[in-house]
Amino acid sequence: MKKGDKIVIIIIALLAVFLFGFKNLLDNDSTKVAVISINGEIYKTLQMNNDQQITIFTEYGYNIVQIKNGQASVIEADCPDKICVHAKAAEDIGDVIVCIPHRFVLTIEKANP
Amino acid sequence: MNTRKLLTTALLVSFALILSFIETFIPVLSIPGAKLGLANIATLLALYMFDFKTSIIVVLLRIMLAAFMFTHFTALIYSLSGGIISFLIMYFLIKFAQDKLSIIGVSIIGAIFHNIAQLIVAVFILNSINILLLTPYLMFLGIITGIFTGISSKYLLKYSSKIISK
Repeated sequence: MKKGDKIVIIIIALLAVFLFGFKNLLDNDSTKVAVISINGEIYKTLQMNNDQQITIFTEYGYNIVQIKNGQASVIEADCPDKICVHAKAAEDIGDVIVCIPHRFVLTIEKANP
Repeated sequence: MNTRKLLTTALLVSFALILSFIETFIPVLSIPGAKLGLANIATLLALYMFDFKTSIIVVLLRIMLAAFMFTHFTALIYSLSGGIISFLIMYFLIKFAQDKLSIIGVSIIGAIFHNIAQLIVAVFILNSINILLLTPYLMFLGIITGIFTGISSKYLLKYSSKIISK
């Protein structure tokens, strides 16, 4: 490993830490909502303080979204890779769950008062 | 292109395809676009052994064949954009910064640009800018997988260059 390699690793790690920090600066105390969009268009907005389970049927397939104890997760889907099902539950503002085959994006956002 | 080069190119493409196939069994973090990038080993070998033309042939053949054999056709646009961007970046790094960076540094930067290119494509396809919030995860992952593929390529290069000469 050359010196340049180490510099590259350090710069990238610092940049990643900086980006993580930026995400954590987002206001996490306010009421949160899980915004589900399909193909970039908002499909449904769910209150995070309200335990619920909904099934999203689209032309691409289905994803079952569960909100429990302030955490949103996809508990079942018929996509080929199942990345959305295995993804970490989303709870803080800025957390994202993506299902590329179903054009499904769930983001946690601040609720509009 | 002489017979030896033709053979080696074919060998590298099949090597890359086997790696892509193995990779479908290894799940890495549940983030779209996150993977080990084993096939990048073949790209790195090609870049260090051959010229631009031959190595981009290895990359394009691998991506096309892998898309038809192991993944969905819709995944092609992601792998194609990631593959080409990281290939070009790695090519220029080897050409202009070879005295400063070893194969490991080249591999790390290649891995990260592969991920970033895929994320940017995803932003357009899914029409959602929020996906970019996954960037720091993919950057950390890129460092780890980049070091791994870089070291693997370094040793493979040492032995394969004994058998395969330019």
